[in-house]
Amino acid sequence: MIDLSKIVLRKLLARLAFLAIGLLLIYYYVNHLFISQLSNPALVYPDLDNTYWLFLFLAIPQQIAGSISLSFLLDGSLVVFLVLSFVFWKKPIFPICFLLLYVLYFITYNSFSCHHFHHTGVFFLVLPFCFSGSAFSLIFEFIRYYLCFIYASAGCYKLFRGTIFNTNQLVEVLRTTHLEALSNNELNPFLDFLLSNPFFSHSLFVFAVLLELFFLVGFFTKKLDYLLFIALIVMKVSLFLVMDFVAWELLLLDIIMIPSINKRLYESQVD
Amino acid sequence: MEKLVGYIKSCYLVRIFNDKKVLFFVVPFLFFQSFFQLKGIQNFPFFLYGMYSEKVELKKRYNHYQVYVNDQILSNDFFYAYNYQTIRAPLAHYVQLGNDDFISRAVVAYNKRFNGVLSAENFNLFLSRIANDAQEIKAFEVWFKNYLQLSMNMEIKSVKITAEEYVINGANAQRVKEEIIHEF
Repeated sequence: MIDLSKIVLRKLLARLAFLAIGLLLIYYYVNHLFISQLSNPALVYPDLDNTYWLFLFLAIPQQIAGSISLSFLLDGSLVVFLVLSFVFWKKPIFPICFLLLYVLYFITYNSFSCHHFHHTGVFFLVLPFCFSGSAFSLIFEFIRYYLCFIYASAGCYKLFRGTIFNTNQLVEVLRTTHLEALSNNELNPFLDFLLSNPFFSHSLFVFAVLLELFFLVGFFTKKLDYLLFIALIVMKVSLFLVMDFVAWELLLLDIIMIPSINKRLYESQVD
Repeated sequence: MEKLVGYIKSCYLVRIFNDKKVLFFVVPFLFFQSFFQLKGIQNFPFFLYGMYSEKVELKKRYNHYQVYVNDQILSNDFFYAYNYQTIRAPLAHYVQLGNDDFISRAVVAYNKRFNGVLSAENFNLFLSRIANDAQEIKAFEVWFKNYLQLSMNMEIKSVKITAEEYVINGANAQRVKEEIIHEF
């Protein structure tokens, strides 16, 4: 087992993680997704999540989204603490502050975007950097297991619910997702092909489920992490082609797989 | 035997027992994640990752809300995916609230859980914080135009939402019903 806390690699991982999150924040800015850019949204959407209920009962998201100064303060602080976490990579205090602010951002944004996104990648990617010493590498390893859990559980759900055997599953998901493009005759040729060829669609779906189930291997060995790393990228590219959507935050979590892939490189840097 | 002891010692859940900080984080996390997983509910940060695992069958008819901005169809060509989601999701919530007399499923659950449990004053206070009233619905229309204006960088004069029904055959969708449901 590599002790990540003793090696210079914590610096590399911190820099890589916070740089990637920085790029994501730029993407948020371009997409008008910062709270200050939502320009005082009106409808609130707690759904059935108790954490959201608690925050909304305390009127925290309403106060932030309803005030120009508070929303700017939150957005600005997110960026400042991200930069501090990147520069002072050894100090856990900055990632802790960033994480708390990000949770606040996440809950406020989801409360008013009227959809509870599962984009937890940033949350779990930053978590290990909130710990120092040997706790860092143990939490890092825990997040690696969590990443395996995300995809393995998605695969298991599809297996146990019998979705994998439903030959119409992907066609129906595509019809619902791309109904707008279908109604406007704007479907791209690949999606057109998938909708017209249910057998091919189902084969693609089965392949995706098998890729998800492959993450079960991650609980037993780290030797195949390079394959899991590739599998995750393949899944995200496929998702983009098929669903026209990429959950960038979950893709960022792929960084967690890097230490076990570059084991030799890391061992050579041990003090 | 020695190999087995070595293997057990190398297991993650055994190793974390030497680090109290990690133990106090990991064990409660695993407990709550398993609990919510078994209950089939999610509370941030304990999520269920189904990823399109709910079994769905082909429908005979498909409902879709078409949005017209300045009499042009609003399509995702204008936006990046996240931005488009932030436009479509509140709109879907707005339409849904209109269909359900402003009563979301959160409000139904709130009434079930807290009616008679909290004092009338607290009950109404908390309800107002998770529910949307008629005033907020009206405010949404102004907000929607503003946000769209910022996202599209053009003046938004009118928004029209139509409820449409489609029949799909292969990759062809045929509209069989269209009705204007909101105009602002």
